[in-house]
Amino acid sequence: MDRITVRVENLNKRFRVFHEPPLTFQKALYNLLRGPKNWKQLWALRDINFSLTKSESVGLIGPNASGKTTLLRIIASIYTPTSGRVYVDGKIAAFLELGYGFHMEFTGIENLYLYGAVFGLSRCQIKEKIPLVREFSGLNDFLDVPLRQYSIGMRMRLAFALAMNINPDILLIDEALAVGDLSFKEKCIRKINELKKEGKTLLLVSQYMDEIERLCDRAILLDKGEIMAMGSAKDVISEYKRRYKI
Amino acid sequence: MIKAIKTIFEYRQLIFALMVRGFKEKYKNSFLGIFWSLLNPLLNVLIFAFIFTVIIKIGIKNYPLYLLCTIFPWNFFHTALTNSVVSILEDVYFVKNTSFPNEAIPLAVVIVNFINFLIDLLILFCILLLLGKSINALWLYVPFLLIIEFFLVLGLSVLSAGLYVIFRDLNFILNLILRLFFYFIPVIYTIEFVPRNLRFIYQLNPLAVIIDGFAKVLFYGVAPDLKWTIFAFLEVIVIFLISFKIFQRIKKIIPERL
Repeated sequence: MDRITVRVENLNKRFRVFHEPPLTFQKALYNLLRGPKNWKQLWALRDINFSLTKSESVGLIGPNASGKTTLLRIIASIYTPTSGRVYVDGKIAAFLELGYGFHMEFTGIENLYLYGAVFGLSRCQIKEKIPLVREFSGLNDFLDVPLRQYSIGMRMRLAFALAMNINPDILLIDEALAVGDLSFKEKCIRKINELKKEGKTLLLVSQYMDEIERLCDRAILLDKGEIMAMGSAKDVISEYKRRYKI
Repeated sequence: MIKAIKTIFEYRQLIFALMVRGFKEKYKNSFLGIFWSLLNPLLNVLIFAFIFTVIIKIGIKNYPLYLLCTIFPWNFFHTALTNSVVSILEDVYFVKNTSFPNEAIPLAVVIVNFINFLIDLLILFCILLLLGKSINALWLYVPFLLIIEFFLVLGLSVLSAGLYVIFRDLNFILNLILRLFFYFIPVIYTIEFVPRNLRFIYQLNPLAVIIDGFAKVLFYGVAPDLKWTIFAFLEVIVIFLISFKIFQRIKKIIPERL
């Protein structure tokens, strides 16, 4: 049995869902007089238990709003759990909403320096990775052009090319393969398989079952914040299809 | 607290990258950028100089020069705070998708504005020397005043950037307070204009003491009021620690509320 890199125990996450625009002082004062409760509770995740081992890749599937991204955010310690625990052994990198947060007036290279720093890389480390990113993204000379002249696909390429070269122990990827043309997608899938062989742990969210089938050994089906099925990728996918009659 | 500061230090590369972005945004990659950032305080100097020397005689000799000595410290306070308050919200994609100490964002904003302030001061020193003032041992007080103001601005900036995520009308409230604040701080007049029995209220305000300190050292060439300056220093330490503490309390829910 391989070493466990991520373990999630009895994890629960509750959100406050506001039915109104964000809170203001004015409203806080009003609520104080009227009594609060302009929000509802929503259990985004309920009693989640699973673990991932080294050089394993696991798919996380389920309908929209089932808690997949929330689970990734908790594992990456962006959100704090309401109760339960998450153990992580190794350097973790979460690739959520890849390609957003770029600065449109900056060139590709300038954005790489900022984006890389957000992922915890130093300036020298990023400098070393720029040729790799140039090669992997296929953007070549476009790296020196301001980002507002990129198409969305090119922006995602840039982000994904950097993400694939960051080199963490555990990768959390959220619907990142959805863009890019066919050849870029193939390149990404090859790269992910390579990373797996190097002993990385992968947790992959996707709506494309063929991707999950090709990349993942195991899969977890999430619905309304609860684990509905867990097991070999094939079985879980057919359970998903059976459940929603696709 | 010490742990939190350590984590921020570990992310110094990120802070540096955010600062680089801040500078590029501010100066739009051109030398003229420095001129643009000077324009706003200089316009204020022109307006107040006109009103208080041509229309109403305020009776401060070399009044425009006095304004230059007080407006730059005020401008740093004002610009850094108004830029910081929205900063975490503006970087929503970074905050929501990666885990890093969110204080880094307003911290970088404050440092960028602080360096800008230092450039302003350098220009001011040149003007002072050109106008025949000589380099003066009293100028050694300036670093001390700078440090106090830096930590005052940093504490308030981090706190307001965090609170703004939760209370979205904070920037309106802050703008109102800052406008009020401007007239109750000795920027366009000296602290000696304030009636003696009310003056202690001014001196309880650390920003008023700092700006008065700048005026005394740079314009009048006298030492700042040491008793009140040390008191302001202690106040700033308390303000900074409380702001930082509150931010550590609320930072857990910041990514969720964005």
